Amino acid sequence: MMQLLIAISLLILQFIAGFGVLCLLKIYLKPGLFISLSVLIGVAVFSFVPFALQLAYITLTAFNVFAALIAVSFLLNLKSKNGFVYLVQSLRSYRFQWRLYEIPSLFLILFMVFVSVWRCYYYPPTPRDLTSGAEVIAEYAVKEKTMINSVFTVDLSTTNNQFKPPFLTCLQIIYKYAGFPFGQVWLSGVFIFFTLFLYSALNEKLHKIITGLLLVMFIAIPEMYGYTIMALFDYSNAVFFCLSVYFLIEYFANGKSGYIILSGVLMAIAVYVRSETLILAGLVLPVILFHHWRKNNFSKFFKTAACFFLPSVLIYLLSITIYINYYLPTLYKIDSLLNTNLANLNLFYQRISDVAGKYLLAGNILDHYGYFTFIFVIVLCADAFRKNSWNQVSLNWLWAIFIIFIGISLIGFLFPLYDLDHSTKRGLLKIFPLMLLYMANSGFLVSISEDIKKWERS
Amino acid sequence: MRNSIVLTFASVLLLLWFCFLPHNRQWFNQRIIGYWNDFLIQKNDLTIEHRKVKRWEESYTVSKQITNLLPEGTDSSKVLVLLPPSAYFKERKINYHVPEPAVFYYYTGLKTTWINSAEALKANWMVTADNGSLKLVPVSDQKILLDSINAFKKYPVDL
Repeated sequence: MMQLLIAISLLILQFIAGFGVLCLLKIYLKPGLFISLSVLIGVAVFSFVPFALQLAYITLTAFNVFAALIAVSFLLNLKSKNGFVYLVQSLRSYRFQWRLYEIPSLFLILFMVFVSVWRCYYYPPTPRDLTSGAEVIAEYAVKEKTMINSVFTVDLSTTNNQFKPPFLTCLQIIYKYAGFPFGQVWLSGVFIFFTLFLYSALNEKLHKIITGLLLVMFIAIPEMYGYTIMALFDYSNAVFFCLSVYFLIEYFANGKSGYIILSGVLMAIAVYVRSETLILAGLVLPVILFHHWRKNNFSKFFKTAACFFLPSVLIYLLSITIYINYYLPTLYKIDSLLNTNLANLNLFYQRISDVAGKYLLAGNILDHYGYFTFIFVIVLCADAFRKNSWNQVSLNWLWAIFIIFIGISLIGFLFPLYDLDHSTKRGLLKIFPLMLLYMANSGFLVSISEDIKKWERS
Repeated sequence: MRNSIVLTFASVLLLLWFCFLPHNRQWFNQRIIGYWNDFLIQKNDLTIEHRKVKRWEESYTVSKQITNLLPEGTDSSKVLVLLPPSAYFKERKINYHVPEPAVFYYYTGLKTTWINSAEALKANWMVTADNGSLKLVPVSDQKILLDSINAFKKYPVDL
């Protein structure tokens, strides 16, 4: 019971921190999106605090860590008065109406979420990528009060996991200090509030019966669900990448600077979780260029591109270049991991073919990703054959899916260590929230939703 | 209201259809229902050690066993244990998937090394096994250590 209270208190503090960030950027959303996004951004803020303390060589005692978390959360809210008034007003005017037909899917979703949360809490971390890297560093950081600890005196010749960015290490430290010996519970927070975010985003245009069904299909992607139970980098990476694309597309629609900054910040968080995401962020730049070219507003491209891309570059420099080279006691040459035969594009085509043939469209698809890709392809085909189905938003989501498909293959081509059966398989998790949000904007599904709504009112 | 009931019925049917798709049926049974059944048992024993043993199995329990073989009073911070590959233990009827040094350190706080590492020559203790029992022996002679490393090399090393 005590642990439940602590977990809720941390979620509230995360909400406060994330709420402050959104208010600073003057981004006010509907309650479901606002609350869920605040918590998710709060998790990211939390993950940065112990790292910042470490960079300043401040000892990572429980007092220092929690004092810093509380201070940061409240400092971020110095200009949140308007946001607070807005949230209270929108909650007052918001009518929580449960429709009878929502209950079956919500019940199933809650059941799946409960099972995941319990297992995530109950079992210690398992994947060796975690136990030989972030987790062991976090465990000894709590004992020795520093992330640069005795783990680096161990024989680390079998692993390079100690060089992964400190996103996970920091969250594990916080939750271990908070009384969770296995940490990990933060992952359940990410899972629950991302699910809430998606539910709210899907409900904007789709009928709730379709929203519920699509969300069940999404949660039941076997590989995706597995990583809501076992803490690793890829689920969180997929979440923040998806959120970044969401706000980039929102920016394309409304042109507000706060949205592109938020999109850039969220992409930076995704890079902080998995550093190779920087390549994917780079692949998004032509889409921004195309947007401004289409609007005959080319001069604005550099400003938008800088807002989007610079935070990612900065976080990469900080968490990889500076931290690894100037803080960690062991050397790691990332350029030595690069493919030395870049002229041989056959490997790239081979990787594209393997991604499609073994994982996304055939091969072991059902074991890893269930029926979700097939559902997406059916909706895509329905849109292709239906008149006036395409709209700017759905096309943008389609671009994002294409970027992941090509980008993940490109990363595999550039870094041979990014293998097909582990790294690529997990990296592909990023594609599914994008497919889901494409379906949320699909002309075909929106039209069915409208028909159901009309019939319901009749 | 009537439309709402029809939609509820449709919602239940669609969810059932999805859950009973051939592959999903198996997945729901193994993962969701299976994990729920686990929960009903797990909630009765929340001790940390029990949860570790359940999750990491022999890899954890045998590692702890090796650590406990260290004589009392030994300064464990100065100990570096040479671990033979998993296949070596398997041949001697010990079901032990040897965790890599970082994971062994996470489990037990003891530093270890593998035979294919440059650190192996610095080991001052090593593990041997015979007839299902484990021994932790101090390295008294560099030649014995070298001979042992060479002898262990006939077993494949895997993560």
